[in-house]
Amino acid sequence: MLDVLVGALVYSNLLALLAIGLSLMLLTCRVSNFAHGDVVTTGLYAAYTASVLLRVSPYACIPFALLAGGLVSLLSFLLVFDPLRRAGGGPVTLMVASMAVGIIIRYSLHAYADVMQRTLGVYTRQFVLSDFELQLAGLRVPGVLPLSSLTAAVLLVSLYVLLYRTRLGVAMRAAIENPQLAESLGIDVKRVFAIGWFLSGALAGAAGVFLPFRVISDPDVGWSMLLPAFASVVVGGIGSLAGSVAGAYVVGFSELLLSYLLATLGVSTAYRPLISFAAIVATLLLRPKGLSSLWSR
Amino acid sequence: MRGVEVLSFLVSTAVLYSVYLILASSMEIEYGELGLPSFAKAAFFALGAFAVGALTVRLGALLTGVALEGEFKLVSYRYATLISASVARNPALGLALFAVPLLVALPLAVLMGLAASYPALRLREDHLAIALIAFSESVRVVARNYEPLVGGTFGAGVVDFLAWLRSPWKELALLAVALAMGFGAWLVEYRISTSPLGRVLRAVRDDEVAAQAYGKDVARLRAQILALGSAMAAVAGVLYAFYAGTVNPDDFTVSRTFIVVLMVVVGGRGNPFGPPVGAAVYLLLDRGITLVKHYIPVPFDVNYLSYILMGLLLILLLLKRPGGIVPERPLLTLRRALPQRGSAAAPQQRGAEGGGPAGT
Amino acid sequence: MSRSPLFLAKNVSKRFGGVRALNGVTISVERGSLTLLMGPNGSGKTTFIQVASGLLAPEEGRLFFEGRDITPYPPHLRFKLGITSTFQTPRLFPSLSVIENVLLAAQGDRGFLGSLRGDEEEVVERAFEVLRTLSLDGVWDRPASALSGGQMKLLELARALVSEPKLLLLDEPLAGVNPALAGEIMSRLTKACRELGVTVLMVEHRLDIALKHADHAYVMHNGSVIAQGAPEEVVENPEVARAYLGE
Ligand SMILES: Nc1ncnc2c1ncn2[C@@H]1O[C@H](COP(=O)(O)OP(=O)(O)OP(=O)(O)O)[C@@H](O)[C@H]1O
Ligand SMILES: [Mg+2]
Repeated sequence: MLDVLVGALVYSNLLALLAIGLSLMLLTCRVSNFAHGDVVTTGLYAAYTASVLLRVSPYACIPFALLAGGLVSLLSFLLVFDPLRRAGGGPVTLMVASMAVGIIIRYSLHAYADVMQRTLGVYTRQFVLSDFELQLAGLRVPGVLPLSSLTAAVLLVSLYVLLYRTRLGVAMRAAIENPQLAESLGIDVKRVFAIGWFLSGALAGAAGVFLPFRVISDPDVGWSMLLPAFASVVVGGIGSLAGSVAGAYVVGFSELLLSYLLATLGVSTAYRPLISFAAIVATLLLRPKGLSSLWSR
Repeated sequence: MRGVEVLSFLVSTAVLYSVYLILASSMEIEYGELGLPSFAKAAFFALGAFAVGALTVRLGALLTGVALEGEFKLVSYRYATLISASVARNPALGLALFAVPLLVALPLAVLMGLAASYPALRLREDHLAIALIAFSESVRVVARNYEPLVGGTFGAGVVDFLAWLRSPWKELALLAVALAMGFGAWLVEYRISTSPLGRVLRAVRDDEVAAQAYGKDVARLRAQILALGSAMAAVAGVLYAFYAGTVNPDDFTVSRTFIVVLMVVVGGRGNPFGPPVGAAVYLLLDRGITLVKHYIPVPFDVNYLSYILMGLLLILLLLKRPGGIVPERPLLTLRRALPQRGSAAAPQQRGAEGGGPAGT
Repeated sequence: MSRSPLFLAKNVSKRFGGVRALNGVTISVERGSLTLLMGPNGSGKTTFIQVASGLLAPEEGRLFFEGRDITPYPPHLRFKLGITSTFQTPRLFPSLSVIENVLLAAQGDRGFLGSLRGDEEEVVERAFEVLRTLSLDGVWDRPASALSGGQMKLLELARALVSEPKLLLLDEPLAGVNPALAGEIMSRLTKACRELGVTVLMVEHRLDIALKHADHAYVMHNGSVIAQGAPEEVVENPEVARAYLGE
C-alpha cells in the first residue's frame, strides 16, 4: 500500500509538471499539444546522456533536462505553432501539426537512442535507473519521492511567482487575455508567448528525469504520459492553470488507487490507463469546466 | 524467383494503398468535408480487424468440425494454418470466412459511429478530437489485455481465405479484392463530395449555425456521416487483417489515426482527389525508404527517417500550402448542373443548353 | 380577432446571464404583411429574430406559426415549415461559391440519399434568377469569401429569397448597403414578396427607406415592446423618441 501511495505521489508530481505546460500552451496558442509528451522524453534523454558523460546522478542533471525540454518546446513554437496561429489555423489544424511535431521529436529520439547506445555503450531502450533509498519517518522511501516532490513544488511555485508577481507575468496574462490589446499596449506578445513555451517545455523536460526511476523507459515513454496529462487538464478545467495542477493529483491518485482496488478484486492493473481516458470523456461530457467550476463561476 | 518477389511487393503495396485509400476517404468525408475530427479512426479500423481476428479461426473450426483446444492466444496461429488447409480444398469456406467478419463488423461499426456522434454534437471540435483519441486508446488497451478477444499482445492468427488459389493467382485475387474495395470506397467519397450532399457537408463545416438556419439537420447529418465513415474504416480493417494474416491490438494506435489524417491534409482537405494523392505520397515515402534503406548509411534504423520526413512534410505543407497538394475548389458540386463554364455568361449559356440532368 | 396571425410570439423572455434581452415580448405578424421591428441598439431585436428562427431557445413564452405551437421546433424544422431568417452580420459559407451558397438555401434538408442525387437543373435556374434580381449574377462563381461587404449582405438576402418562405425574418438587410442600391433592393424585395405571397418581419434602422413599405411596426426598448401600430403613428410616438434619445 505504501508503494501505491509513493507511486501515486510521484506520478502526480510528474503529471502536474506536464499538465500546467499543456494548459499554458492551450491558453497562448489554443493548441492541444500532442508533442508535449515527447518533450518529456527529450528531457529524459538529455539528463541521461549528461549523467553518463559527467558520471553523476541523473538527478544532478535536471538543469540539462530543463534546458533541452525548454529549447525543443521553444523551437516548436517559433517554427510551427506561432506561424500557424498567425495564419489563422484552427485548433484541430494546430493539434494535427502538434502530432507531426511529436512524431518528429519521438523518432529523432529513437534514432538518437540507437546512436547513444552505440557511442556511449549504455542501454537506451527498455531501461530503468536504480534509485537510492531514504529513511523518512521510519519508512524506507525511494529517493524519487522527495526529489520529484521538491522539484515539482519549486518549479510550480516559481511559475506561480513569475505569472502573478512579476511584470513579465502581468504581460503574459494580458497577452493571453487579449493579444491584440496587449500588442497595442506595447507588449511583445510573441516574445512573451515564447517565454511561456520555453517554461512549459522546461517543466516537461524536468519531469522526464524522474521517469526511468519508476517505469521502464524508451523513446516512447513520454508519449504514454500525454493522455493522462490531458486528463489532468480536462479534469482540472480547461483553461485553468491551478485547475490542471489539482487535476494532476486527482488523476494521478485515482489512477493508482483505483487500479490497486480493482487489482484486489482480480482486475488486471494493465487496464489502469482506462481510468484517465474515461475521466477525459466523462468530464468533457458531464462537467466541461471540471474542478475549476468549484472556485469560479 | 525475382519475379515472384516483385509481384508480392507490388501486390502488398497495392493492398496497403487500398487499405489507406479507404481510411483516407472516410477521414476525408468526416474531417475534410464535414469538419468533424473523427480521431477515433484507429478504433474503427481495429473493429474490422478484430472481427477477422476473433472470428475466422473460431468460425472456421466450427464449420470444419474441429474442436479448439487450449487458450486462444496460444493456439490461434496453429488453428489458422490448419483451417487454411481446409480452405485450400473448399473455396466456399474461404468465402464464408471472408464474408462473415465483414457482416459482423459493419453493423457494429455503424452503431459505434452513431454512438460517437453523441459527443460530436456537444463538444468543441478540439475537445471532441481529444475525447475520441482517448476512446480509441481505450479500445486498444482493452483489446491488448482481454486475451479471449484477439489474443491480447500475442495477437490472433487469421485464416487465409484465398488458400484455394495457387501462387500468382492468389496474389492477383487479393489484389483485385483490395483494389475493388479501395476504389469503391473512394468512389463513394467522390460521389458525396461532388454531389449536393458534399455542398451541405462543407456548409456545415464552414458555419454550423447558418446551415441550421437554412434548414439542414446538422445532428442527423453528423450521425449519418460518422456511421458511414466508421463502416468504411471497418471494411479497411477487415481487408488489412486478411492481408497481414494476423491481428495485433498494438497495430491500432493513435499514430495510425495520425497517418490517415496526414494523408487527408497532405492530399488536400475538401478535394475528392485528396485521399488518393495523400495515400500515394505516404506510401511512396514509406515504401521508398524501405526500398533504398540498405543504401542509406546512417547509424540508426532508417525506418525512423520515414516518420521524421512524414512529420516534416506535413508541417511544411501546413505552413506553405495549407490547402494540400490538390486544394479544395468551389463549384465542385455544380459539375453536373453546369456543363459549360465561364463567368457572367454562364446563366445565359445554360439557358441555351437546357439539357436534362447528366450522370446518375 | 377574426383570423389568427401567421406568426405569433407570446410573452417571450430570454436572458443572457444578467442581461434581460427579451422581457415578455409579444409580437404578431399578419399574413401577407410587412411588419417592421425597430428599436435602439441593444434593445433585443436580433435576439427576437433568433428566438423566432429557433437558433435561441426562450426561457418563457410560446411561439405559434399558422396556429401551430413551434416553440420546441429546432431551426431546420422551422425552415421546413416555411420560416427563413437572415443574420445581421452575414454568415455565409466562405469556401462555397456564391451560387452554391444560394443553392444550399434553395432546398431544405433533402436527406442523405436525396442530396446525393445531382438533379437540380430547376433549382439552379431559380438560384440564378434570384442572383440576377440582386445583381449578383456577375460574381456567381466566386467564393463567397471573396465578396465585398455589400455583396455579402446581398448574398445573405439572396439565400433568404430563394428559399421562398412563408415568413421571412430579416435582420437589418439594408445596413451597409449604399443608399441608391438600398432603395432599389427594398422595392424589389417588397415586389417579390407580394408576388410570392411572402410575409416579412424586418428589423431595420433605415426608416427613410423601410417605413413607406411597412404595414405595421413594433418598437422595442430594453427587451420590451414599447409601442406598436401603423408605422407613421409609431414614429410620432413620444415614448419612441425618448427611447431613441436614450433615457
Ligand atoms: N450571445 C449573447 N451573449 C450575451 N449577451 C448577448 C448576446 N446576444 C445579445 N446579448 C445582449 O442582449 C441585448 C440585446 O441584444 P440584441 O443583439 O438582440 O440587440 P439588437 O436590438 O439587435 O441591437 P443592434 O441594433 O445593435 O443590432 C444586448 O444587451 C446584448 O448585449
Ligand atoms: Mg441586432
